[in-house]
Amino acid sequence: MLMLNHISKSFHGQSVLSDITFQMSEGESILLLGTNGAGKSTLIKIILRMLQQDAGGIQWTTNNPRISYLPQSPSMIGNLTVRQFASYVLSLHGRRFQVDTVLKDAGLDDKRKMLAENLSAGQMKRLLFQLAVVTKPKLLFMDEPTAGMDLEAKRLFHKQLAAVRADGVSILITTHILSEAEEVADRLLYLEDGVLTVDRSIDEIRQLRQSVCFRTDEKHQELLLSMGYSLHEGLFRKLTDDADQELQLLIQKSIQLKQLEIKGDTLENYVEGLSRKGVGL
Amino acid sequence: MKSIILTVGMELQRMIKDRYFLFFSLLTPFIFYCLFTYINKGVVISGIDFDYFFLISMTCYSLVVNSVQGFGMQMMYDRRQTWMDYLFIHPVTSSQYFVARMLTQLLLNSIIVSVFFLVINTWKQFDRPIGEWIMTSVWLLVVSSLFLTIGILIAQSKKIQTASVTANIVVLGLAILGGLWMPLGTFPEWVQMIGEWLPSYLYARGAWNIAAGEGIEISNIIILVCYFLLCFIGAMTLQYRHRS
Repeated sequence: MLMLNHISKSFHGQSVLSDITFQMSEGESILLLGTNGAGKSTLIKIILRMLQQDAGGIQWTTNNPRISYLPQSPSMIGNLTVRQFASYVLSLHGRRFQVDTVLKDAGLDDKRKMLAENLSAGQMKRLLFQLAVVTKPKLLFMDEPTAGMDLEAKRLFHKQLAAVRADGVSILITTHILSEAEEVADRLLYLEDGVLTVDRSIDEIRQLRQSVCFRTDEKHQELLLSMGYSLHEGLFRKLTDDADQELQLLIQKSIQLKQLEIKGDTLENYVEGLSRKGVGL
Repeated sequence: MKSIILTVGMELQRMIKDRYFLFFSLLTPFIFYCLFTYINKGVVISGIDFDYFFLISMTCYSLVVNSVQGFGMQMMYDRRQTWMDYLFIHPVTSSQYFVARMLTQLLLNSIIVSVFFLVINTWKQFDRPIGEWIMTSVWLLVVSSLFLTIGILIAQSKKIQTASVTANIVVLGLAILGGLWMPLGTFPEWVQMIGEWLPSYLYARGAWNIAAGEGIEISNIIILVCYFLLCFIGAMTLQYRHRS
């Protein structure tokens, strides 16, 4: 549905984005990550047409697709009540009749007469998310969507996000809570100093390395630590590119394995590795 | 068009709640009017009764405050908020929003003119034909767009403090030197020479001329149009620079 071709952008002669190319299919969910100042916000603003790129082009397969955006630090139009704000946004989409439903679903029914600018960051995000969902977008951009939300709001957010995904809405999300992102995203894009260094599916990432985890007798502790295992509450753990080879090695060393578990790598581990060292595509 | 109408409605809801608008654009000029007309009872200026002369002055002052300070500072604050970015992903473009803001301000200006003319005429019972009221109102509203462009120009400042100080100085300068607070004839001659070239003076003079039964001078209109073009081009250039 969206294709970015060789997008570049500089500010005051300093390159912020360089030759960014990727495409996004309908219904796909992409996690956009990067170090601070890597160019994530600039890239989102270019796609949202808030900024003009210096070079390259953006192609949409559908004409004027409806895009919704959930900013990281939302602010509300001053001097409007929560109801007036929601009513205005919905009216722009010809959906003013849904104002009561939106306020109820955002858990702000009792705050309808309060000035919208006085809502907490979490409440603002809940309201903007409900407004985004109701206006039936084709593409939903979310920048740190759950930051500032309490546990109950997060739970509700994930429930509704799953419904949005089921409706075939494409999602581009940036977040630091990778355990949450792993449940939502199909694909990871990683930006480093304005360059797209990783474009991989989450499934592929999970298969890149495996985590070998087991318990054994204390007498093997020194040997296992020297082999690169970590020990936490009696559980030995190591990330490896080849779990079979690792198991053969353990058997050769006559280590008795109890409660053995081999799992795919987590997104969190993978991204941690990326931020420690530069990674090529 | 639907987006513009909805945005004008939304902006009116905001502005009506704005204490700055109510205090500086409506209440302050009204208090000044009561005070100065009490001091200058029976005074006649250029053949116009002071009560009516000063009604024009204070209406002009109110429109200048609302357009330069009120609108300019509101634009400045709004430009710094992320909701502006959020808004433009909905079916409203930045140019539609800009048009809606201008229309809202013109509507507010027409509210100011109506309130002043209705309230003070009810109180003072001026014997003036309806055509003159309409002509004066149209003149005041049309030329108030010049002061809106001055507001936009000030809103292009990089810092809020700079914009606030500039707006205060500009409004005070336009009000005092333009003869809106006190008739220009009470100032030294060199001040009068400066004042006669200020847009605020030319603005009020157009309405005073209508009150005196004289037509609005062409030179007056030409100078005001030049001011408008200068401010408009300046504001657009600065806005373009900000964006690029």
